[in-house]
Amino acid sequence: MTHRDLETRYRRLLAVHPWEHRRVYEEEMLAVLLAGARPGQRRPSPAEAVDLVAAGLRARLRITARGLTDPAWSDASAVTGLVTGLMLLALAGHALVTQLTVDRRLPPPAVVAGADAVDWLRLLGWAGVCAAALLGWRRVAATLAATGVLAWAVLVAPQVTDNPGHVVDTLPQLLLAVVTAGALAVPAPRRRALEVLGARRLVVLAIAPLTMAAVLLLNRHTSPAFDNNTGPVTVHVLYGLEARTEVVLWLHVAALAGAALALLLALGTLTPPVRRRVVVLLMPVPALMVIIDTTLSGWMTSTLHMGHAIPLVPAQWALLVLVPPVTFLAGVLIVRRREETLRVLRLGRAADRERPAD
Amino acid sequence: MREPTFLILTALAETPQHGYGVVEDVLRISDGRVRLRAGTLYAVLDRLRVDGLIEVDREEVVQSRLRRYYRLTALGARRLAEEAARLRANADAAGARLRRRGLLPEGGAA
Repeated sequence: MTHRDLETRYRRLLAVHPWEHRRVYEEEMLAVLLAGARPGQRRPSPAEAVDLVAAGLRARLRITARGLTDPAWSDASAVTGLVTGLMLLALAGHALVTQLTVDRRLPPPAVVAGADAVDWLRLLGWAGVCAAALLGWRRVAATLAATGVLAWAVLVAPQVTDNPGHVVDTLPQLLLAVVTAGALAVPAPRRRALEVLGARRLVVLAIAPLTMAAVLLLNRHTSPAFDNNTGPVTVHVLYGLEARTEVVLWLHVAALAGAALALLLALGTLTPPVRRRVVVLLMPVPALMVIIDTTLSGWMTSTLHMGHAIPLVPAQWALLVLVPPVTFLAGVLIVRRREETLRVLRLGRAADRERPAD
Repeated sequence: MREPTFLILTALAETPQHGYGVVEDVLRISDGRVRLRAGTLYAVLDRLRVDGLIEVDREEVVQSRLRRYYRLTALGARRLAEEAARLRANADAAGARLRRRGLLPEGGAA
């Protein structure tokens, strides 16, 4: 009976090893452990337990690292890096045009904020990232994207005490830049993104973000002007969109939704393993946006209108810092679990075909 | 090459052995100094198999327990010979210097 107790306890410790390792070695390891046990031994010695747990964790780490460099991850990274780069390019273009044109919704006198060197460099930088990624200069693209992250750290981060609202506002874009730099840093065959996407998807992925930026600019340009002289006017507002008639407003919404749908369709028609991983790589960005929108909207309004900046408490910063990596890691685990289940199902089906159930 | 790896390859150099055989042999080779534990042993065996330095010789079931015998491959033998030569050269250099300083009796260990 004691032998069986010991075996059960050894099996529990062996369970720390990943299943790939257990499938090959568990029975053998158990034989070695039991052969080395003292007569009457009932539990694993502390040294044995430490050795088994440490070896199991190391094997898990090794297999996870091997899994992250598998072709599906490198394909997904190549695609994601390009997609987020194109989004940042569209955002930079939108920001530049906004700076260079009059905001009709503001009271006169009409002032053009004007663009400085940083606005132009931002546009050129992200154009450079996209061009380098398309040409297959992955390292150049990754370095340029990392420079964008660094530029945020130098130019935006120091405003955290005076203007925390602005800093938090730019966090989703910063995260997009981090995702771009990280995804492009993953080794992949030359011009892999082009191969995986194909020409048609690539065109959609390039045009959709630009279309969205263009619609937003068009809306800004055609929105009812601030005018005190014409008496009361009706303005339809939906989030940042404004229009004189409801039809125009919904047309703009439809154009934005159409572009977003095209983007989702282009990514949704990739092969399932790549599609799953692209979603995991992109998901931290919407997760962060949702967290900012749901937990910080009250703070954002207050800090903008109180006349002085309200600092965020450490727990809020921790939330902002932790949500993206936790979302990513949860995604990695879900993809692993899902693919293990699919593999087991395939094995089961293959076994059934070989030996049909009675 | 780490010491457990070196000792495991040495244990398999003469004849194929199963896991517990390797543990006992390594204990003998190292004069009772190195007692390999199962986690460490199978992490090394797995890596050596992936690297092609050892391979499975045969499998047996003894008292309803699986015994898998491992043997050295030609590549494994070459790696072990190179490592042995490297260690020997290091040990010779250390011995020669110690002798010159008179810290090691002539003809002593190392």
